[in-house]
Amino acid sequence: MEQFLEYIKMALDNIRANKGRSFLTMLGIIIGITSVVTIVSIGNGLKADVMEAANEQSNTVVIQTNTEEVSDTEAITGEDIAFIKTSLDDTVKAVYSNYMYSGKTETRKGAYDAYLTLTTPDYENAQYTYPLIKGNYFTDNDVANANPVCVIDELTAAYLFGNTDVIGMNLDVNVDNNIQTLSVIGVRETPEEMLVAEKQYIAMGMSESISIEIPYTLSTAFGNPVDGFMSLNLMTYNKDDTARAARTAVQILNSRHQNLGDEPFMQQKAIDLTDMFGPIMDAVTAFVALVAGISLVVGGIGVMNIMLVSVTERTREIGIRKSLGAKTGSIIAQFLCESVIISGMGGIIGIILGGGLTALISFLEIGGIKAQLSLPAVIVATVFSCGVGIIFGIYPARKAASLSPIEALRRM
Amino acid sequence: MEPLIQVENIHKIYNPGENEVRALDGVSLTIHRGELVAIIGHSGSGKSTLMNMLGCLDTPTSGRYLLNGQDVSGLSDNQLSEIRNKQIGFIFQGFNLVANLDALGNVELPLIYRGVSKQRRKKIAALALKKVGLEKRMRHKPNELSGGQQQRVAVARAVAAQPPIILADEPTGNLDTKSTREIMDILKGLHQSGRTVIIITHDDDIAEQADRVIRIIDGRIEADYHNEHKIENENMSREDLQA
Repeated sequence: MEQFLEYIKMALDNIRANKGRSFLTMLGIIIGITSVVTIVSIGNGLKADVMEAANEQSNTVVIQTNTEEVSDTEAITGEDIAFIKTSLDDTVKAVYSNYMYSGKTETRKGAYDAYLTLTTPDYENAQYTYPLIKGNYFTDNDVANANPVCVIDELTAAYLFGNTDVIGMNLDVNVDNNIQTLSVIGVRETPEEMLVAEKQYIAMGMSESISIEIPYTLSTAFGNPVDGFMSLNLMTYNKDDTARAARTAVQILNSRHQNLGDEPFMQQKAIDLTDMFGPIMDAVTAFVALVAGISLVVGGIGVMNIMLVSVTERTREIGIRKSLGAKTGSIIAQFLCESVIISGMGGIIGIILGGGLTALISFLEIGGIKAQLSLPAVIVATVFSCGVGIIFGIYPARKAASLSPIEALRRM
Repeated sequence: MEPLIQVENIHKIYNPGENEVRALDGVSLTIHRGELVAIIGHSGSGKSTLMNMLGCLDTPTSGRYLLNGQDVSGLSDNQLSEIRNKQIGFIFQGFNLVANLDALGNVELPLIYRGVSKQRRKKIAALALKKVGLEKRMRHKPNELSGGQQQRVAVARAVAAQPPIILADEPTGNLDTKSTREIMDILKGLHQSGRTVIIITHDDDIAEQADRVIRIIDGRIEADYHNEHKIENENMSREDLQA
């Protein structure tokens, strides 16, 4: 051990004696490691951004019937939904189910094809919907009494009435020739980008987007009574609670519908964006790391070159050391220590620079990227740079050690 | 007394074949503990090759070399390193100090390879430098020292590890008269303290100061005599001398 410390000291002495050259040797490694650390960190930041976006949706799960044999009427009822909502009141923000009907609607402005969403009161806060800006959403009472009310969005209001000030207005809806007059009690926002998209759809020859949300019990009035749903959506306040809430909801449904078999309900496997983007991001990170790795190899060859020059330059010193009793192993150890220290120091400087660049990029939010320093990248960079020192140091070290002392001493 | 160095019919041939060079052509000699020997010869005589053999820096093409009773003619590179470290202290014409180490660091080198602990090593090296009068120059790098001072550092390095043999290759070749006298005085002092000192030189004045002179010409020993006796018969054989 003490011998080993001697070799490290010898190597450090020599690096100190040749500061300029040692630094230039390190430069290749420094650039390589800096780019690896920075690029992997940027990749990390990008990945985290994508994951964050992907995870935003995952506070909602879908619970559905397990088999196709379960009929509509035997499936999830309004009472089930209310029971789950009450049971999970502290964590669950919304529990809702919905059906889609297509029908027609007519006002003084004209007649349009319409999409009807038959649903429960919690649909107000459903995933992918926009907030209510006027009036109220329908209530449990509206559902229980099958009150002829509806909620539409600003776009629909504009089509049907020419303005958005439409609370209390009536519209006729026709589904399979069952006509029902509905009173508008609420209006959802239609954001600007949706208006832009709508213009493009219309330009492409598509029909107007008329969207009407009504209590699901109105299905009777439209001649197609619905007693239950095949699935329900469950949305929690906190996405950490989602999985647990979903399990509880499935248990509740299964215990309330034991006549349907062992486990008639299950959680639908959500389309996990994390699964979709994760591998892509990993591939990008890996590719970029590979490119940076190549620059490290180039840096390593630089280390080898300088060490070879150093061997030639210090032939005489090697001769002196051998004549004084240095063994082959001692010379190898000395030169190997030197190359490992040079590349290791290069690695450390590279990590510091890479960390600094990462911090700078996140601070300035260049391209909106919040780069995150990646610990694995730092570890890999450290191991790699020391590995470069060992691998590219062995050849010059062996060459140095194999010199015969008289050969070495003869060279002036 | 048991011989320290026993060389038997050593040959060293470079480029075997038509253009072969017989650097050493059947050299035999015996050196006892405590002798002060000068090996003298012109350049190209083979004296440097002999010095490389005696210093275990090179191995002979044929022949036997017993150092301290151990046959070293067939040893490996690493084994020779160990022998050099323990048995021989070198003093070279060109000093051969490591440029980026100070005087103390240079003297420490053989002790490092012997595995002496740092604290003891520093003490031994400092003492050796004190003995050659350089206690005030310990932290100086070789390029901050005069030629004579550098050679004194080399002498300190050679004796620090207490090897039985001091092998000096033209130790005064690069020095002025004053420094030459200083170095020779130190070497003679080492001899008087019981060390075996072998000086390789081409200078008759240096050889004069040794007890015994071995003259090499064309790879052979042409003369081997003791200065006290002023034996002039250069054809007298080694065996006769020892008888």
